Amino acid sequence: MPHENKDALLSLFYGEASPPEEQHLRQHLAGCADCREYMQFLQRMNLTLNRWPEARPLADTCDCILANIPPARPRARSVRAPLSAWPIFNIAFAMIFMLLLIYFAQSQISLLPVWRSLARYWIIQALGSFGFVALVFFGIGTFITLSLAPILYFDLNKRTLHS
Amino acid sequence: MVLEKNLRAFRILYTRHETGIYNFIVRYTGNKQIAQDLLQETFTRVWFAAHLFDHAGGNFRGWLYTIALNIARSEMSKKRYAYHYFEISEIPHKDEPRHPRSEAPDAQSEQADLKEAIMRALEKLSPLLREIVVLKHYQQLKFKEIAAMTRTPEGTLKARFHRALAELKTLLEPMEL
Repeated sequence: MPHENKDALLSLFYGEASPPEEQHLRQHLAGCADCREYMQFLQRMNLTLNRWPEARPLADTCDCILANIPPARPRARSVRAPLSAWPIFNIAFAMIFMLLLIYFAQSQISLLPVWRSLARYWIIQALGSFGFVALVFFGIGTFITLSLAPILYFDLNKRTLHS
Repeated sequence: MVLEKNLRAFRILYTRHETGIYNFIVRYTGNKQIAQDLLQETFTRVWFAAHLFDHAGGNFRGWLYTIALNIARSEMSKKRYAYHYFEISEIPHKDEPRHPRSEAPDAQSEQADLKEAIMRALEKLSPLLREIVVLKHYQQLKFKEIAAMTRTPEGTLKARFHRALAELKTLLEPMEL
């Protein structure tokens, strides 16, 4: 009779064999002395190894574990910063200031002799003195911003690098 | 419940598994002090990694033993235990009576000798063989569970178990067990 695979005997010994497999193995064991001997060896080793009894950990281990766990922090709630009214005031103040400046500048510019020669052009006629001064201020502001942009950009990069 | 960081649930879980995990580590490392520390580490990791467990269809026992096994493997691979790890707490002090009065000295002595012999025999096995003996024989895990835990084919595990038993038999033969 061919011997059974030892793995199958191991499955039988530890109760992991399926019912048909178990039935087949038991039938085989009834007629095979070598396989019976292997099962007896497993039984002997099982008894031997069981002579190392179980131990118990220290009683306060769970408390130690919990004591070392940091307390749960409440979930951070997303808090929106309240809107500040300052930028609105600043913009409003700047606009009023610019309008007043343009208003006074346009009354002055219309007195200049150069204005008469400029007033001949249709674009100046369309803009009027107020529109012309506003355009001039806008041009000056754009020029200053573009001139300063590279300086501001490189200065910001330099600060970032040093920090 | 543990996922929700419930202390009471954690205590229940700990009480249910403490002895199993502790004995697994004691038998794997052969040292009660290390086992005590690693037991704490295992459950601390359970607390923090509870969200990683597959609650739908996962095997908690297998997951827990995987954590313990990984911790024990990592600890044992450290250089300080590579050569030898002997349980110092097991060595009786010279002035200390070896057997308590309540038990017969011969029986107590025999039990201690047997335990020490098994411990030493397990210690002499390679880590992989010791691991399978402890997980299969002492912790009564199924080969399928161990295969999933260690990502090793069942056939390989069974072959290792046969080899481990054969080596243990040779090592324990002088004790006439």
